[in-house]
Amino acid sequence: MTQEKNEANKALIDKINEVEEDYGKTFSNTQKILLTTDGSITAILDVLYGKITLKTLDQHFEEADAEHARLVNTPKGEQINFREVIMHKDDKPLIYAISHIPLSRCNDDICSDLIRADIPIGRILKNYDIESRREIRNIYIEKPNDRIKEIFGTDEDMLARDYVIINSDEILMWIKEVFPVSHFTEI
Amino acid sequence: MNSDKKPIPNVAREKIKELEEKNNIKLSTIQKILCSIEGPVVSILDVLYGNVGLFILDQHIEKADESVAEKLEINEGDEIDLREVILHKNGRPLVYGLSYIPKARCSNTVIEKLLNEDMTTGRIILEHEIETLTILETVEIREPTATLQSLFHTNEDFIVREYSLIHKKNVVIWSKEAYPISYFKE
Repeated sequence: MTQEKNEANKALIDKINEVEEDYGKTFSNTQKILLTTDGSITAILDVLYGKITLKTLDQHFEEADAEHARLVNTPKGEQINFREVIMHKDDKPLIYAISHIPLSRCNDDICSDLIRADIPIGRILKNYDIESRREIRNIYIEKPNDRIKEIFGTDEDMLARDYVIINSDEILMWIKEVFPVSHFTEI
Repeated sequence: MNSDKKPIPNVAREKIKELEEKNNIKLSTIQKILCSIEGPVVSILDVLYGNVGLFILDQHIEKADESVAEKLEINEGDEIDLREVILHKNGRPLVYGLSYIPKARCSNTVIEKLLNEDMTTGRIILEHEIETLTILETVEIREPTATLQSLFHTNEDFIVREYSLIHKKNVVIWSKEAYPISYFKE
């Protein structure tokens, strides 16, 4: 335990408070936790719902454009794994997530797990004993695009957050998670 | 990293299920989350209650006995930081915490923070950008010790979880967290 001081995660409560104020609505405790946790969201959903499953909507490699390169702090043109998934319980979609993972930063085992199976990233990290930390970048409300509307069967506003998982002082992956504002209000 | 491993089950979910069945109870959503999150509970409490306070009950360096040495995978007699704290909101105790931290595995800055500042180990980990892996060891219902009874003014059962945080393949913190079973019901 030797690293220098970081204040990036200090303002999470402030971030949530700001979104609540701007939106004029108080979020449930579960929503707040899902938006701010620095652990695996899959692990939390697993505990709340019983085993949840992951459906991969899209998974491919592409060269990072300027925006993707910025998100994962790599040079433009670097190969990244793009993954788009739905975490769901039975037929009910719970959370939509996209991730960008620079290929150069994951070993063959992790890459093959990402590609071959519907395994949540949190579980992959656990499986390979990856030491990591998460930095929440943004928490916000957004309007759903057509794809999200279709997935959740609603056109209501979405709660979203994006964050990075850091391993060996480098960004291993950038992740965005999205769910309708009406989700996780009762549980 | 082990390429032959099959995906492992969610240990927290299984331990919680076992606890519920054994004690014939249902944990609340928040209790389940507190039992299953990776790392210290302080970040969750901060979100639920606004910034929570820390009251340090005991904090000192001592030599590890056999039991602590085993938990931390160090030699008996190695120096450890023992920390016994209460997380509270405006004086109301929320969670009791006990931590053992092997001194040799911490930088001087971290040790100074532990010894001199009223900062939780969870916040120290965040601020110092420490990459960790959480190994959940225990989630149980236990009868309270005299200390817990006195701190929380209750003799009801407590929910207890114990876990280790791994950094650079070594245990850097072993922690126990406990709170009365009636807490965090909603």
